[in-house]
Amino acid sequence: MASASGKHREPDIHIVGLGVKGIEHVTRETESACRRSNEILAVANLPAVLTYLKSLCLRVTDLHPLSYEEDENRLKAYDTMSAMVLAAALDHAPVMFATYGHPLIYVYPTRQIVDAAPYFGLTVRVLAGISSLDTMLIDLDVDPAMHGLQMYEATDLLVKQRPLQPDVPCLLWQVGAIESVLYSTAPSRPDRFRRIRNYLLRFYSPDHELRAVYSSHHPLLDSSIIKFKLADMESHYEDLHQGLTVYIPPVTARPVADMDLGSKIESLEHLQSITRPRAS
Amino acid sequence: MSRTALTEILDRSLLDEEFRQAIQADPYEVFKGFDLTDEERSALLSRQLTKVSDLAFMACTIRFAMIRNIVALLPTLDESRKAELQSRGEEIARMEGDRTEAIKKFLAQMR
Repeated sequence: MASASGKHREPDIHIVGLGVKGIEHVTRETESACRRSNEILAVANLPAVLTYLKSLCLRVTDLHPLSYEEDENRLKAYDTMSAMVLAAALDHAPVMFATYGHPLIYVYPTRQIVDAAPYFGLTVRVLAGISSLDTMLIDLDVDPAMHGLQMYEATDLLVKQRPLQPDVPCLLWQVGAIESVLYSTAPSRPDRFRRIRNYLLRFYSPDHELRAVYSSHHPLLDSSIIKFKLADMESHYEDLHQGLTVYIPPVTARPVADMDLGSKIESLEHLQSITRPRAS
Repeated sequence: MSRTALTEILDRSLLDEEFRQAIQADPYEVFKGFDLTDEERSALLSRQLTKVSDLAFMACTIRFAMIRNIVALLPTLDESRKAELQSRGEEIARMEGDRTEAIKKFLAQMR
């Protein structure tokens, strides 16, 4: 955020991601922004993270206990979180909204704050954090360069009947919370996973092996990966808690379709035909 | 009290690098100093994420699950209402005192 003078102007609100594994993933950029904030309003995945934030900023507010009510639409919780951040910024900027993971991956309050801030004359800067997508790629040993990557929010997949490509690795987020937007800590029934299993059976065989991955959020603990066949998804209802993501490996590798281009990608002559000479 | 011991180990090992290294070097010895049940000690030694999270209750799984949150069919802003929202936003910015409730209503109006 540069002003007309070229100086770097401090935003009224920093939005940051604290990463997944406690404080191990906090970037130096985020730490520096923490020290410059008058208040940090945080949604942390471990209590120790709040202790750590208090070592960087005198005023830290834990948004979590203030925000959720059982069986309520989650939007109410998001409204409360976002309103508290915006109100704090109007009162004593600069402030920070800190969430676990990456601040723009599955964090609706970030979207709300970014969209609403200009109406109050507030400026916002979002800083990247290590997301659970990053940690899951490590846990699953998947490089998206090889076969691509498709990923969907599980309820969104069902409601919109999005098509899946069986030759592309697939991540299904929030399977444990599927079929409802209401906030609940109640354990799922096996039936909850029948519709998603049946939908996936349109694209994959019953024997296709899925993995439920839950990345480690603490350095003393290892990530959890549970394997099961698609046909058995309902019987794993106790494993499919809200913190995990389901990974569907590709069934086959897609063959080369454009043989002409495929034959040219290692050709120096072809490279020279699509590039310009370097300036000497 | 045992739950507190488990939570203390999880919290302290995040914040205290020496303590964590001591656990990694000789967990049996470090855990002797804490009032852990056999189940908790076994879960920690096995590094089982789900098991430890369940035992620690609020420290891990439940808390983590509750905050993983975004939903399908999120609302989008109606562009024709921007002028009205701008006026209301400026009004809230000029208000005295706690603006939280007014902003909550504003956010609901954005949908």
